[in-house]
Amino acid sequence: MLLGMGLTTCVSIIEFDTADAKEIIIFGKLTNSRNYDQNITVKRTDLNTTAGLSIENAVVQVIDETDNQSYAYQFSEETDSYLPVTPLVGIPGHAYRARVSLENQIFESDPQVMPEFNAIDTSYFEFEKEVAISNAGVESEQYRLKILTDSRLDQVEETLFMKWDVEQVFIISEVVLPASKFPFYSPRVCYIFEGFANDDLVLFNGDLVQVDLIQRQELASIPLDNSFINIRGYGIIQSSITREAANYWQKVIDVSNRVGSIFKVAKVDTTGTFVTPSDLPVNLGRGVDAPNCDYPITLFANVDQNCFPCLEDLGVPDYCVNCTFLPNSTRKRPSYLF
Amino acid sequence: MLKKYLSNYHCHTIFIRGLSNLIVIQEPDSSKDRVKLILKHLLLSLALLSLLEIKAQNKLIRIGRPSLYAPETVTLDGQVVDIDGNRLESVIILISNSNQGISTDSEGKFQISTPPGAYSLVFHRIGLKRTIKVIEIYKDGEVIIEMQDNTIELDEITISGNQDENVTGVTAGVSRLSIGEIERLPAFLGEVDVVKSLQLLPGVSTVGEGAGGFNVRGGKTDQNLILLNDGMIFNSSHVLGFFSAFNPGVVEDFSLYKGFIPAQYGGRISSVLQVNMKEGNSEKIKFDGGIGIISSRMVIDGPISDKTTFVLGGRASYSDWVLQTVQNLDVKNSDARFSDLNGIITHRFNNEHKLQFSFYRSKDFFQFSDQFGFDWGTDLFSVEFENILNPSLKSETSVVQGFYESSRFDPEGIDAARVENGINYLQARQNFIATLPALDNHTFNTGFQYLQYRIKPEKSQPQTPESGIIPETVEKERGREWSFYINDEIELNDRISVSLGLRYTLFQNYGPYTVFQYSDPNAPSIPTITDTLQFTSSEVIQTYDGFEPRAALKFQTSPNSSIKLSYNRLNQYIHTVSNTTAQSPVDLWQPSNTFIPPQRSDNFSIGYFQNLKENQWELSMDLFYKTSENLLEYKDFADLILNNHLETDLLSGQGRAYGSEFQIKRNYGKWSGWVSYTYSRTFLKIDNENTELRVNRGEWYPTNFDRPHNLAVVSKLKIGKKSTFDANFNYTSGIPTNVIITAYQVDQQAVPHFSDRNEFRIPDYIRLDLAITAADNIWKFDRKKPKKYEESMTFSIYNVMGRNNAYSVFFVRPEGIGGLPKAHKFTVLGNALPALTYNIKF
Repeated sequence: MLLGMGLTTCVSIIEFDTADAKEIIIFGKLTNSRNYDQNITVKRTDLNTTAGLSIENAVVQVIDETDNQSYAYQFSEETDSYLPVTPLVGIPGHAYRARVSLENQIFESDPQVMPEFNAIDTSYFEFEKEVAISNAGVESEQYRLKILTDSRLDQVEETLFMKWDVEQVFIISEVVLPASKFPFYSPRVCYIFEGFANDDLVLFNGDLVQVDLIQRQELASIPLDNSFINIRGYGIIQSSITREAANYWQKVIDVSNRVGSIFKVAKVDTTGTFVTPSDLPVNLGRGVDAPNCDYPITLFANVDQNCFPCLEDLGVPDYCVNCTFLPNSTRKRPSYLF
Repeated sequence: MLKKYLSNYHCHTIFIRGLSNLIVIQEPDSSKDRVKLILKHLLLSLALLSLLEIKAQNKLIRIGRPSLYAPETVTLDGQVVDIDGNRLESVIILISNSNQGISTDSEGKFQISTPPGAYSLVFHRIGLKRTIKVIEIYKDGEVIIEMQDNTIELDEITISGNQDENVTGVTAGVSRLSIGEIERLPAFLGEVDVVKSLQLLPGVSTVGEGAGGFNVRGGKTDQNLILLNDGMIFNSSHVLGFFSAFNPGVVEDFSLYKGFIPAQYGGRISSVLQVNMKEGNSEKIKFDGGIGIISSRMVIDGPISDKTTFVLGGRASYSDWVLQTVQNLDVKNSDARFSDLNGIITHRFNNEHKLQFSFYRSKDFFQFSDQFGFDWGTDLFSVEFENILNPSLKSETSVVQGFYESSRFDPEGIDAARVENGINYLQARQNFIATLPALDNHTFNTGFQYLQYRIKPEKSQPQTPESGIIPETVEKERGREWSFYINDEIELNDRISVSLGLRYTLFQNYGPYTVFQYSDPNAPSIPTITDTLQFTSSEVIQTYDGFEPRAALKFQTSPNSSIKLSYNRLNQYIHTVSNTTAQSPVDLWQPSNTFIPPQRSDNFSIGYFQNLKENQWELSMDLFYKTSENLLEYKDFADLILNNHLETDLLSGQGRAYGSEFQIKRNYGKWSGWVSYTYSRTFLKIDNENTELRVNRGEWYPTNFDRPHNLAVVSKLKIGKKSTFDANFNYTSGIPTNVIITAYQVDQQAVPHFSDRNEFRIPDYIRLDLAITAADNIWKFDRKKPKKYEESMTFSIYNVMGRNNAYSVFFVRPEGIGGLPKAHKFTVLGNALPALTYNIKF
């Protein structure tokens, strides 16, 4: 079989004639971080984009069951999600649940207790040379940046579940234009965010693994290319998450697995912890209301501040004088950078 | 001596060179006949004189099973043809260990009546090569013998146990193939394969290229009872499923019961595959071997003493050198190897008593790069004793001990671990085959069987010192099954036969074991666990029993056609617990328990069978309908490994399958083969008052192996005297699958949203294979020098069209954030795959 696989396996895209299922998606995350928006997203799926279609008329609230307090949310066009009307920061040990009313339906999550933070991390990066062999048998070298972490886990009574999120950000500087001709222009910088694919999600499941020290846990592996000429920063957020959240993210990993095999379990729909309290014939809400306890870490992979792509032969592109034209860019500096 | 012999032609008895062959020749009626008879005598004498010189070139032919009732006299009808299918008249046939010698008539036909037993048949005619066949005959049957010109070596003899049994036999829905029939089918990497050959028969399919197991008439792979002689096989695959576990060199023949299943068989609700191993020959030590590009096989058989014979066969793979040639690093660093060993020792005390000891061992190892791996193995030991108590009563006693062990391992990383599981069983069976003088049109088959299952504890252990995996052991249950059965085959008249059977089974699930108690036992879940109950060793936890009626009716509409009806009820007390699409070597075997009731099926079929041109052509059409209960399904994201409360992840439902099978087959001649087409559907329904325990809202949906259309064309064309050209064509509908119907983004992660279970279907499967076999004179060093061995070389091309058949479908999100995952078709064998195999016998 391996002979067959090696010599003759192939992969090609096929199309299925699927109808556009308009499912309601509810996703929220509550953390103890003051730098996090604590937003809840309520959307409807759309076949053409994973961003989905905004739903602005939902009634959203988060209930702190420990303090018996309710926090109302309202829609924010800027974030395309619902934000708490009054400042809300999660408190470890408190139980929270979310409730969303929409189109005469109520979606409500089970109460979940925000876990304590109980790990200390050291993160670092390494460059690694990788030899790739093409189908034609040609060898080539490829360098990769690997981001790793060592985590020392505190002794806790509860089983520990953790999730690491890695966010990478480029820093792009706008071009310097002659002051004589552009007296009111001064170059600024933009922060361009780039995410990772689903199968790069990294989880720790204390049900399966019991160690005091997690060593060289690989969080990301990024091939080096010309974009590394720019400053590239990495924000690593280590979250202590609930068992329910861990189950949800494990399902996301499972359904996003890139390898297809009939020895794999058939992929099915991923439903989070939202439930409908009334037995309404409606689409189930999907997503997870996951109280996290976060610990941010910052890494820098490059200190070069030049704007590499801006000097093109055909003049100065508009994004070189206003870098917010670039996709996923913002002038708001990430909290973990500098 | 010859002169003396010719001068006494009226009635002669002669002994030649110590041979015990006694020849009786009937007195001629006319001078013409007399001349003819003299000629026959001459030929007969020449044949006998040369008997000692003839090198054994034959394989054992068995008509009927020794396990079936052997009447006082059996009749062998035969026909001798040349390589073009022309009937051969006046062929002399000598029967060793008997007092008969006969010749073929103008139609090339002959008939021999003899007591059941083993005989050597010598076929001789001027201008043709002598042919010797050793035949074991236990019931009436037919053979077709093909003879060749004297100028060339003997060709393969095409044998059929009972050529018109498909019409005259009462059992409907039985497919039989001899190893000779499948030997020259084009095979994957040139490896002759019993299970792969089965998949070319109507009503049999598989979920994918190289998938293990097979599906019969809408049944799951674990619903097939696979018997190697009397021993159950739990995994019939090597290398996940690319090769079958049976060494073709030691296999005599096999039968697949997919319609009527006689009452002596039970324990599975879909089909019975009976694979019979051959016995060693009693003449001399023989060797049969084959060398392929990834494995080789050999079989040695022969006498140990006058009454004792042996067979020893083995196979081993050596795929590492092939893997090293592959450019893909993952494949280069992978490993796939297997080996198996068969042994049979048979001692015949006399014609009435036979003792047989057999063993089978197989080992497999598969590792894909540093990512994961499986290893698994089977051990089987059996002792069988046959005893003909009197001409009307035969006893068969057997004891079998079987072991199946498997493990999955992750070799590296913090979660490097090995998880082991397995199943052992002990089986004892006593079977009687009897006729009563007052009921001479009845054949009774009755007996009992005891089976004891011991599921091995599931163990997880860290694979490396760095691994953080917590060692864990999950105890598993045990089960025992008693079966009592009786089957009566009745010939009511020349046209109507019936087979009536009843099987009673009693199953007990017993300790030691801990059973969880739930507040709602009908919807067990972890949050509703209320208590546990401890059961001590051998303490009965749960008992199930049931009657299984079996009935078959044959109505012969003409000498060459019949209509057959059948009904079976079947219970199954042991199940695989697996939610992968294909059978995996590490699938758990689980006995029925408090929460898992036995599976049960009711099977109905009706078929029309027609033979044409002296059984050269067979036509058949079968319709079947099956309902099933208590089929296992799985909750989404079920975690089945190291789970001591499996019931919380399982669902139970109903099954429904129906279909029609058509086949036209040419048994012999210059061209032979068959065309079969099957239309079948198979559905599941998982419904429950609790909406969380429903699948697809409690509606019927297709199973993972629902493939409505299945077309197979198997063709063998003789080229010249010895060589053959073979072609197989296979078309099947794609298997059902779940696909992404939309996707959404949460926390910068694109999450796919999937369809209903099995709502869509992967593309259809189409494959054409070709093979050419050259036999003898492959190495033409000296054609005049007689050869002391037989050899053949087969060059085959698998998937000649190089079609990218879908093995499975998976989804990949494009680079960047927010891209919609796209469906990708994964093809295992996307190119034509040539193979060369060399076989030798001496």
